[in-house]
Parts: sequence; structure tokens; C-alpha cells
Amino acid sequence: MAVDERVLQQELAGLDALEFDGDGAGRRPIVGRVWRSLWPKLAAFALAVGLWQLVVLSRWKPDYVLPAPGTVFAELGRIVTTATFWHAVSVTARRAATGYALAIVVGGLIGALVATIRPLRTAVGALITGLQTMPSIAWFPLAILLFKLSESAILFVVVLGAAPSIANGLISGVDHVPPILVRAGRMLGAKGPTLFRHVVLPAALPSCLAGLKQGWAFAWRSLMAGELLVILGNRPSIGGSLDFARQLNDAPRLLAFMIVILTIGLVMDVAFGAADHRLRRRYGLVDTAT
Amino acid sequence: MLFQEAALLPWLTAAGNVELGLRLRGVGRRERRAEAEELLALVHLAGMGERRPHELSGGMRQRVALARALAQAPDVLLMDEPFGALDAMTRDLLHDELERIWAETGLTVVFVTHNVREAARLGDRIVLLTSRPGRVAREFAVDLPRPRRIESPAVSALAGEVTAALRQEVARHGR
Repeated sequence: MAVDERVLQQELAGLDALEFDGDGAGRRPIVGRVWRSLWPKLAAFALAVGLWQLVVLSRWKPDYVLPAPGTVFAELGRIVTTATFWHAVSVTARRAATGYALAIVVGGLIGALVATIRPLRTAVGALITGLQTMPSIAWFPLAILLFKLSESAILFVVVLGAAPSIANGLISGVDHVPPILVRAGRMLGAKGPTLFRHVVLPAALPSCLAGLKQGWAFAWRSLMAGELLVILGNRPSIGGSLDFARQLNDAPRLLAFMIVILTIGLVMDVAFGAADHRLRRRYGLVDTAT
Repeated sequence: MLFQEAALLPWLTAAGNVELGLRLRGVGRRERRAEAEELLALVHLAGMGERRPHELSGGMRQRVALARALAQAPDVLLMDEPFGALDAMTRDLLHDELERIWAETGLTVVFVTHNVREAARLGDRIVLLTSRPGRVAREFAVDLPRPRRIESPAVSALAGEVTAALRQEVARHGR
């Protein structure tokens, strides 16, 4: 036996203990953490409402065009108690979910193929980025020609809006996998699809998530544009309600629906932010000292 | 095979990294867990399996990488300057650790290093290579008794001898 086993064990354990400076210790209580992230948002909200009230008080526009925050929030409170509102929300949510899910499938598939097959990359890599810059509303005339005024027209545009971002996120994630990890994977005997599944894909995940987040933003915008343009008589939707409020010159109702759209966007953003943070924490990309 | 960096997969725990090595060798799910635990115990990391690489120190990561390399059940372990990025204290301890594991497993280890003392401390044979093309310039048989200490006079003397030969080799390129 080389060195005294027991002494070595003790020395190693001592060194390990010294190299650690309290892991996870000092995490704040949950209430404190929530409050710390919440109060700046509440302050910003109060500021925005305050500015809005000031503009109203300045009588820049008559109040049947630009109503005061109080009126709008009262209208919002009334709307959310109606069954029609929740019907509209559910129709919109179903469209968003279907469209986004389709976009993930399409974008993921295209992304995976383009990222791994080199000639394909040369052929359509730039095209994907090009598609991303295309305003999704510009697709609607074509979508309406192809699918008439239908659910499919809306889905078509939502998918076209979101899929390029999702594909791009995957492609750039795969491009930026640290070569040392690929080497490690090869060293362990992984190659081809095994290497992709065990090393490349997990390593690309943070970038994928960024793509998914951006894809969602595009999907949501496309969906709102679609619901304004493609209004199906028997199906109330959030975008449709917005347009309806404008036709009736019902400003409080219009603004109330805008707040609903904004809120949904914010909630999704927070959800993606939380997922991103968890992932980065897991991957050791967050400085835990702060 | 071990690199200068531990090259652990950051999304897997220490045990997960070792288990991936076992999995890619075709070890069944149930045996994987037990065997990974054993390997981690071998490198003195029992109970650290649930930590992720970023929660480990440099020396610990390199030990996980060693356990992962051992998971492949290799005949020869190739180590490419594995302790180069570690501090001196950790490196000394890992020399002891490697010597112990080498004695326990009976593996052949090919250890690449620029640190001549490290070579004298660990090796049975020291092979001095030329640069471009990498040919064997000289070979030293080391018959110092184990356990060795890196600061011992015998190791120093041998290191001196190897260093002299190395310098000659380097000087040849300067001409």
C-alpha cells in the first residue's frame, strides 16, 4: 500500500471541506425574495398608471376616447365576471397552445436537421433568419387566400411566426456546444445520435429555451394580429373582442382588453424567466454568491 | 482518458456523469447506480454523488472525471496533464490518490506531463519525447521505492537528471 490510507482520506476530506464555502447557505426566506422582485414591478405599474391619469387630467383627449384608469379598471373588473370573457380567453388560449405546440414540433425538427446536416445548413440557414425578420402580419393575405377565414389561417401564421425562432435557438445552441464536452462524450464512446442525445442536446438546452421564449413572443403577436383580422362569427376571442370594442367606440372596454393581452404576455414572460433561471442554476451558469 | 479540464457534463450530477460512462459501455440500469457509487467511493467522493460539477472544487471534479474514466473499464488509462490546472497542495494529494488507485486496480497508466517532478513522483518509466515529430528521445527506468514523496531527495535527484535531458532536447530546437 502506498500512503497510509486513513491519513490520505482525512487530508482529502479536509481539502474538500476547505474548498467549500457554505453551499446554498444564506438563501433568503421566500417572502423576502418574492418581495424583492415584486416591489420594483409594483412601483413601475403605479408610475405608469399615474402618468396615464395625468394625461387624462390634462384633457388632451376627451374622456370617451381616453378614459381614466379608474374607469378602465372598473370595466375590467366587470368584464372578468362575464362568461363571454372566459369563453374568449379559452378560445384564444387554445389557439395559442395549438399553434405554439405545432411551432415547437416544426421548429424543433427543422432546427435539428439544419444543425446537424451541413449542406442543409448552407442551403436554408440564412433563410430561417430571413423568415424571422418577416413581419407575421404580412403572411395573413396569403394565409387567407390559402385557408379562407378559418382557424387554419390563424394557426398557419402563428406557426410561421414562431417556428423560425425556435429552430434558430436550437441551431445556435448546437453551434455553441463547448468542444471539450463533445470530446468528453466521444471519449466515453458516444457518437452519432447517442452523442446528440446525451451531450449535444442537453448542452444546447439553455439556448433552446431562449429560442422557445422568443418563439412564444412571436406566436403571441401573430395570434393577436390574426384574431384582429380573421374574426370568426361564432367564436369570441381576445383579439376579436378588441376589434369589437373599437367598432362600438367603447374605449374603456378596448383598453381593458389591452390590459388583458399585456397581462397574459407578462405572465408568460415571468414563467419563461423562472424556467430559464432554474435551468441556468442547474447548469451552474448563475453566480450563487449573489 | 482524462483531460487537463475535468470536462464533466454540467447538467448531470457527479453520479450522473459516472453513470453515463457506465451506460455508454452498456451496463444495465440497476447495476449502474451501485457501480457508480462504488467508483465514487474509490476516488473518495462517497456521498458527493448528488452534487453537480459546479458545486465541486477543481480537485473533486478531476476525481469525478477519474471515476468516469474508470467506469469505462479501460485497460489503459491515458491522462493528459490532468493535474495541471490544480493548486500544488491538491496536486500532491491527488498524486497519492492516483498511486493508491493504480495499486488497487492494477491499471496501466500513461501520464502526460510537463512537470518533471510529477513524472519522477509517479512513474515506473519516464519516456522523454521529442517535439514534432514526437519520437522517443530517452527513456528512464524508475526504481525508487513507493510510497514516494515529491519533495524527497531521491525524487529530486531523478527529476534533475530528466530535466537536464529535457533541456538538451529543448536547446536542440533553438539551433
